[in-house]
Amino acid sequence: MNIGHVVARRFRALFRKDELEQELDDELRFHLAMQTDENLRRGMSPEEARRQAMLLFGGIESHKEAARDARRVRWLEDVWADVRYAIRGLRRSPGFTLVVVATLMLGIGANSALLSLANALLWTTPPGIGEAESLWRVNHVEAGRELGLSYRDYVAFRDQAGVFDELAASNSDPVAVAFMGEPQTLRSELVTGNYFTVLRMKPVHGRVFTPAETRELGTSPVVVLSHGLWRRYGASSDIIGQPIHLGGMRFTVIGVAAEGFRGLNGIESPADLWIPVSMYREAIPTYQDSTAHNLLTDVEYGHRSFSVVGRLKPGITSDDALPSLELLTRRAAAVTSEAYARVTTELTRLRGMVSSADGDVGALYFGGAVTLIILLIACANVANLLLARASGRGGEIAIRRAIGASRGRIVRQLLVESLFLALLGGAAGALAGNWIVQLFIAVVPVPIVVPIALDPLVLMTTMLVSIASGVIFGLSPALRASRADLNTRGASARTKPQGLLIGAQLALSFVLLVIAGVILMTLRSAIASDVVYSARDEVLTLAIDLNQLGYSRDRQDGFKRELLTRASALPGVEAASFASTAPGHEGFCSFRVAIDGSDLTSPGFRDDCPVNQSVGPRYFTTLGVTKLRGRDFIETDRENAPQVAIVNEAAVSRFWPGLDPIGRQIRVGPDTLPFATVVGVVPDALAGNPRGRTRPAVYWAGAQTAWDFAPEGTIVLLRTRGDPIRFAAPLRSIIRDMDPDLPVSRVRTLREVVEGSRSEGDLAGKLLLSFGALALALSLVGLYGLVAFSIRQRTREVGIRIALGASRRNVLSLFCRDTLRVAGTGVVAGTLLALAAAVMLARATKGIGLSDVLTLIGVAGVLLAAALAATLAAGRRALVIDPLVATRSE
Amino acid sequence: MTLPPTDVLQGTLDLLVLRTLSLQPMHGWGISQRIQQLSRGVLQVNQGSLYPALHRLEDKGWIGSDWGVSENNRRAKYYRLTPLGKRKLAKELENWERYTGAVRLVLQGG
Repeated sequence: MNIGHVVARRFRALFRKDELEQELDDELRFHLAMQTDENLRRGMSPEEARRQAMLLFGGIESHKEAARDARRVRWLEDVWADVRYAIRGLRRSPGFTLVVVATLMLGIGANSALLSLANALLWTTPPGIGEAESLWRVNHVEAGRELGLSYRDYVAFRDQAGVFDELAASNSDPVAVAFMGEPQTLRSELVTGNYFTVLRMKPVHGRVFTPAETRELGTSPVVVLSHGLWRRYGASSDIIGQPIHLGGMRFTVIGVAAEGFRGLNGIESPADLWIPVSMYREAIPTYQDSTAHNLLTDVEYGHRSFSVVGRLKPGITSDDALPSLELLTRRAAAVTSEAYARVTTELTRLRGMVSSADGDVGALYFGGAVTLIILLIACANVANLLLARASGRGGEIAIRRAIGASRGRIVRQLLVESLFLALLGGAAGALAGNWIVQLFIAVVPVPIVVPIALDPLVLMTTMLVSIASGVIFGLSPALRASRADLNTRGASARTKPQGLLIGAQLALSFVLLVIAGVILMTLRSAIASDVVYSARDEVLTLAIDLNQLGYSRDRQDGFKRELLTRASALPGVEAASFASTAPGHEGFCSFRVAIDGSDLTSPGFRDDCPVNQSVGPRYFTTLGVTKLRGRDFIETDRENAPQVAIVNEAAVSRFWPGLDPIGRQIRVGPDTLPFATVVGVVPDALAGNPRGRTRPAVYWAGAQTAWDFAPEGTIVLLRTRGDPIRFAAPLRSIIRDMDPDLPVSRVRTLREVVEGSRSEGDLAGKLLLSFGALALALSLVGLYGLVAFSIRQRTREVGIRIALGASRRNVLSLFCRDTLRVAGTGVVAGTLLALAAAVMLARATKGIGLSDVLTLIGVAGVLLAAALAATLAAGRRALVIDPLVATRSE
Repeated sequence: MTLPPTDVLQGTLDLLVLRTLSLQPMHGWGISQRIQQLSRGVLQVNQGSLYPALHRLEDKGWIGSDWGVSENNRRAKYYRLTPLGKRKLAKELENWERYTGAVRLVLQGG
């Protein structure tokens, strides 16, 4: 029997049904006619002959049925019949259908939205790139973290590995730009000449770099703009050929990149323009300083920042290529020892816009868990609704079973109904999800592009999720309802599974709300405990980038000194200082720390790698830090004076636990640097992650330290009397007076700076809170429905009680007790779940404290109160029961 | 004396039909008549089992069908044995011989 034969038959059975029916009819009639003839020949009369023939034959219809069954596509026809039956049934109860579809839309929509987001962030290729399937990134990995490569690594891989057909490199750098008369700091990428070619990116206007023009250093002052930047400046095609000043030198715009393309690290450092790497010194004069690192030759740790991407030679797989790359890395390690000691090479496909080691991914997983919980709650609600509806159809089902439907048939029909609802909800959810994502991107400034059209992967996954949900919420009601003995169960037993479901929903809502509450509380307390930031509303900050204009070290120091002097002279200014990064954003963690003469580098050190900041004199005074031990930095902490440092409390407990650090020695960086003496200790709240443990921080005097900690420019701070924003203009004019080409950016008050860094945690907390509220709302709706239903089920019982003299209040309290039992169980279960979650989150938070317990109790209270309210609302409506009617009803 | 129709086991009916068709192609009516004939009236095929059996056998590819004109000019569906069916018939015959032979041995044995 060949496959074609089978397929042909099935096809005929499905689609040529009428033809087949007709044939069967003909065949049986022929038989009947022959039998009749035979009977006639035997001597019966025509009517008798026919009657006898038919008797012998049996009912034609049952033959047809049997023959049809033998055709073996019966089940498909049955399913289709089930679907039509389901549609009829659902049309009869539009309210029910609407509620179910709406609930599913929310649950599935949330998941769909998250999937779209994850898809855009993790799996789709950045826009504008062609033939992305054959693009590979070359990464160095150390202890699970991705590192950049040095330019030397790139050259080695390109020329010596022999596995790449083409290889390009890019380095992200901030650059001082003067364009169309406006000085500003933008983010650029220094790229090799073949960068755009390797990425197969076609420019929207003009052209891209060619390898030839970027071969020699300093000879091609050309720039490619990003699409967004081009749009910002008028989006006209005669931008090509316009001059643009980078680092004081004149460049020319030769092209505009494809829409949406912001380089290969589009989320972390989205690029505004691209510069040939051969122009690195001209575009970014900081590289001209010989004491700064040389971009093209430096292999020092922390100075390897290139991203490398390319295509392998035909026939070579990534597994084939790795050994050659690894070999070259080992060679580099042999030459420079510790810089490459623990580094391995890996090749990854170019996919998504964030690297897998990013914090964003963790947030996505967390979001996924939350939306899954919402979906489960929604499914539980729908399951309850279905259960309620099914027990109302007990009569109908009993009749069907009496006629001869098998239990399996009934279960199948109910499942088909559930799946149909699920797919409806899924379709609505997919649309809703897309809408939610677009809203999210509009509100949260993440530079990703999610296409309006539904992505097929997301759509398919959403459908799968819908089907799975359909089975989850449909199976149990179907199995229960198909049992014939619906009436032998007691009233409360009938609602037991629904009670369990509600309890589970409440537990899950409880968990979400508690987590949200804890996060928000942590933030609140973090902000509240910032007594250090007493001057939040009195400090102005802005950023200037002295590196970009090629200032030498001495010139920078002199500039800063003069700026501070002039700024302090302004009326109303109480103090002025500068810092390498904004307060609360201390960065540049260094792994090489020496304490009192001995080194402290070790792999386990990674998580409390101390952050560093170089600051000006009286920095802490300017910030209004009151709890300072020892002293602040002063003007005399300069080049030829003794090296000093100030540390925070976390650093003290890390490096000198239990001791007084003042007077002790610390050194950060290569051992060519001198040791510094600790002269002051500041509180913790300044440094690190506001959500988690604060990290050790070391502050250096800007005029002394050899470290360049300010890759993005210097922050100038002014402590003022009165509204600090009033001083922005005078400060700007002082700066303009000192150097008109110097870009000034990010003018904010200290409050905005500090609370800006909290905002992401805040956003997460708020999102969780809305999810928790949504979950709770869903659960309450379910509870309302359950109580109303249960009262209806127990109508007789209620009627009897009232007839016997119970007041309505007594009856209500009966139901309230039931509800409290359910809700209470939910709270207990939820507490256990929340504790488990807390253990998992404990790595990120400081552990469970008093405020957390208060949150727990508060949320539990809210939950129980809400549950009671729902019960009362449902009960009140349903208690309009006439006892006489009630006792008579079945 | 006729065997009650239900005694003709499904498998046996299949065998009978295949065997009948191995002689010549015929329609459903003809098959039931022929079986009755060949069994000298002992076996009367229940029409209610015949057609499902025919459809089942056709589904399995052991017999094929065509519409044709019968001896009295009526339109009828004719069935014929396929090569696959021929092989199946041979196997079933063998099984049948073995089975009945064994039963006979048991009944005759002491």
